[in-house]
Amino acid sequence: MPKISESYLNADILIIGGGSAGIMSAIRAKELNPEQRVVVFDKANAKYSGSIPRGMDALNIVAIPGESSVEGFVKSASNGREGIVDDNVSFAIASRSWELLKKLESWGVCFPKGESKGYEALTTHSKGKYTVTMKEPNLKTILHEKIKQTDTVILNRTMALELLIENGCIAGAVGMNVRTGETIVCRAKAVILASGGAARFGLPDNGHLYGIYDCPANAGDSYYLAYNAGAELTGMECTVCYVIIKDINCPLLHITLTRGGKLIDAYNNELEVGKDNLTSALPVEHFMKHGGNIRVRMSHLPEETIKSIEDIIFSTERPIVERFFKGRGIDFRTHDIELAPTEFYLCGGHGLTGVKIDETASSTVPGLYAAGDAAHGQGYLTGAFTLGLIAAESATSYASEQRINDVAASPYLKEIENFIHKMRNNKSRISVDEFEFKVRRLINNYVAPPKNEFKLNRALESMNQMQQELCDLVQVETTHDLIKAFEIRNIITCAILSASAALERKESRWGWWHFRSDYPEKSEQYRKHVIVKKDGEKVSTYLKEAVTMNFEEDN
Amino acid sequence: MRSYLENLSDNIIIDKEKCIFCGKCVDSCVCDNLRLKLAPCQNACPLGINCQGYVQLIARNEFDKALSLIEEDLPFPRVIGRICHHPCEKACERLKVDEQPVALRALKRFLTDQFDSKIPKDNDKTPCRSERIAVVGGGPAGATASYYLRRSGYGVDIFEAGSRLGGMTTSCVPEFRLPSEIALREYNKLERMGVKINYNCKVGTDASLKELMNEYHSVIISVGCQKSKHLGLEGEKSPNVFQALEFLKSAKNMNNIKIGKRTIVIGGGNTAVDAAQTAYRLGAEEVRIVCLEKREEMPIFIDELKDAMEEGIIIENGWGPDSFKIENKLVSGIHLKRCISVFDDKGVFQPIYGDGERRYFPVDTIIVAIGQKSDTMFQNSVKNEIDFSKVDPVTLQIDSSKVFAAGDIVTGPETVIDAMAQGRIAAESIDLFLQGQPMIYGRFNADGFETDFSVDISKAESLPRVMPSKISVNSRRSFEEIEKTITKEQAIRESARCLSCGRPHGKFRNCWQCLACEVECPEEALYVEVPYLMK
Repeated sequence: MPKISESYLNADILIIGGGSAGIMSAIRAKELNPEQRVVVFDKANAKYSGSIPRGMDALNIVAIPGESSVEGFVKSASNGREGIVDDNVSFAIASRSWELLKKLESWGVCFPKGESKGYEALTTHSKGKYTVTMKEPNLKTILHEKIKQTDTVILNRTMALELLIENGCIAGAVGMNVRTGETIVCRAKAVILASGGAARFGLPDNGHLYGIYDCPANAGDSYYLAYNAGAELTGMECTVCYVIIKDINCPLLHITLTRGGKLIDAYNNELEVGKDNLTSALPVEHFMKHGGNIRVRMSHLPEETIKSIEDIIFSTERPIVERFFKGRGIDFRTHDIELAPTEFYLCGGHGLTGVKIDETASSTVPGLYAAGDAAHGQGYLTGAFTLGLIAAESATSYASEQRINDVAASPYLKEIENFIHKMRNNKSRISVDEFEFKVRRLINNYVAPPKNEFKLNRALESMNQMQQELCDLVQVETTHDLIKAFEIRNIITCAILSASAALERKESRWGWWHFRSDYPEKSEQYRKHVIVKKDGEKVSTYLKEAVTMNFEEDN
Repeated sequence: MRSYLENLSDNIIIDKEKCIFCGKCVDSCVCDNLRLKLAPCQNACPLGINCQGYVQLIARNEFDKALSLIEEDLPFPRVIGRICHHPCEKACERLKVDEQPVALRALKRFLTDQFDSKIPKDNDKTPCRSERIAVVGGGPAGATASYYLRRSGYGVDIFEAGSRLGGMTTSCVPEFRLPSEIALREYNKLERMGVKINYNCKVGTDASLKELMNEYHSVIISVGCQKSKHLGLEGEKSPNVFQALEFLKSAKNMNNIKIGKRTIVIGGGNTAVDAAQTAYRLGAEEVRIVCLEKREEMPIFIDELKDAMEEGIIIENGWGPDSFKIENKLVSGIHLKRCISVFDDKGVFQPIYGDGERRYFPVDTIIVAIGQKSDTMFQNSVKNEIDFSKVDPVTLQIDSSKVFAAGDIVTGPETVIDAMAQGRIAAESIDLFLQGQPMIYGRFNADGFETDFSVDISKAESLPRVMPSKISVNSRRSFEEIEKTITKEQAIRESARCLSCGRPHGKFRNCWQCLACEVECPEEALYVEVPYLMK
């Protein structure tokens, strides 16, 4: 059990999360000013942490000069999210994407040769070929090696619990070691939130609390931190769900459909998938409405293509799928692959949920930035990297004009101590995992679509009750359990924000993702963000115009 | 309180025939699922040496790998393999089977004797970091600190008052326990690694601590406890009364010492036994150890006492010196008084003597071996700037300054491996200190080790422990090593007695199957299955 021991350190820039966005941010910050002190809090081990623990098979968004325009991407992205995407953010992501590819390549990341300016580009958007094939099983390791060459202080096994705020500006963060329970106070001039989305949100159909699609360590920490610090968040009602490999919950569509794979439904009909929606909602809706069985078929493809698909799938993003298919006796040449919807979750990169940022990755709190899945951006891996670069640039510039704020950490530490004290002394014997199961089951019941006012209000009631029960009923004996309790605190907060935002959006949008049975049609008046923001003890929700950019040529 | 998650099946498959229990899998686990059940031997070792790992590698006939595993945590195994007090053996689960632990120290010695002392392959003699650290005292603590600081890329300068590295282990520990040739070859790897050593340089006289503090980015004080405690009896300064440390040093240097036929050593610790055995070898015919402690209270290594008794040395337990008989300025006899108890209820040294019982022995030589204390002369130049009583027990930093301490100077006289552990802690603290990182956070108990588990010994057979052979009692008058290294056949036989208590496992059943652990495993001993619920 944790003994409360406090340590302190100062930083020019504190980065919360050492995944793709966080590490790229740290690398850039050090490039810009080698003298500045950069500290990274990572809940796991930065060598393998985050949604991309090992490798990746594509850089999903690259505006290839002369072939696929930045403007085209901005239009595609906006279409893909039906207008609820800030064009300035999409623009920022796409306009840095070519430079990003070159940068990664110079670090040793492998991009196979092809026809598009020397790279292999695939069509996943209506406005052009933006997805460039990457074949790098060691992407994270390459990044980690780069950051280790600098004097960045990487504090592994550290979960950020609260942001320090003084006079409405960022002043740092308090973290806890996930193994020892020690607390650490980092006073920083600027903070970048990069700890991913709320991947552990709804309960997956395979019944395993940790058998989810995205990294289970992503428990909405950044959303909680930003919200509590008074920043604006958007898209909390955009509960995303993808149709990927059933049971093992690993992605497949991108890699197969771009190479000629077909989608077959339960009645053996081939399904059409719209270009901008390739990686989005359509198959989910079909799944929900039409008998719940969609398969990917590759048996018609030439041997060469199947081999190259196997090669990439089994070596990059989730190599475990090879074992999964082997265990079930599935050969792509003779079998179809069953798909199923994932659990519902919140994610900037895949959806549009996150800290509301502008094209400089700045949130609405001075000194607080966000990148990757923690930020609103719909940028996937490219978004993580490019927003990471941009956040580092903005944070470096901001930090150069600031001093360390000697804000008192004791009120935050006291609160944490009280929380721990309650969890240790509860007479009740509800274990953390049992509690988490119930929370996430309730999210499935009330927060996930199909939504309506009754369910969403029930969501708020039950989540507020669970927030209370967390302190009153759950008993925690080890640091490991305590950290899980903090994660559940964050998950419950995200559920409350999601239901609140969903109530505000009185329409249906993004296919099944935000389908409201009481407002089944899309409405033009809601072609806006639903912002959530902390207002005392209440959740304040309101509409805000999406930032749009108009281009002369509309190709 | 087991959660329902922990009751699911474990999808992490470990091949125990290949696993070396290094814990790299646990270190890399993203969801913090993995834990390493830590073998009790490793848990008991102050340096945390992977004992289970090296013993299992011996069983697999992989001696080179076994020694490399040891050297990750212990830079000077040739010293430890011969004279460690092996707390690992006291914790060995084997004791529950046949009351004899696995001979971990002898196995370590076996490994070190197979190979030459070598420096790490990737050692870069030129420091890659700009900071330089001064290490005052090149004994086990200072030498270990120097090794790790050098490995971290710093420039290291040792200031050694004597003419050789190793402290007590090379100046006092007798040749028949640890030949100085072997020990020095081991310690001298520091020089080959690029550590600069200033011999015959005593800080306090030849150099001042203040100068060192000005010239170096950090300083370690690792001067040990070199002053002998005195009895305070009249006649203690006579020419035939020796302080044990000086006596042992002289013997080690093969100076000509005149030892009388009847020698009495006062004291009940290892130094006393060493002195008694040395006296025997220098020609004494009647050697007695006189100590306050009862037999079972003596702070000694039982093996060494056995050796001494084989040599005919007599142990007189429960007696304390009362006065010397002095004739012609020499001590010719010693009066002893009965000691009833040594320690009080709280374990504090508080001897109580009996009223009546007395004894008298005529003697030719007295050796006083009642303990050591620290010599703090080095601090005089900076006494007012640093409060030397303020040593942080966790980080070893003195008074929040750039000066750190390690070894006996901090703990009082302890064992060699304790001193080495201190040295490593000080080195790690300095690294964090110089990089401006927190010195305690996430540093201790953060490895993901599990110590609260039971070992199934129900199927273990009783197997006799391998005993290293010794030179015959007739040959003991020389300074030849008493103990011999065990043979390869003995080593393999002994390693089979190891129950291989520890292992990694997916404790929390929250594996994301990212396979980081598989990639990190150096032995391909770990396999991640798809969890049953998802298979």
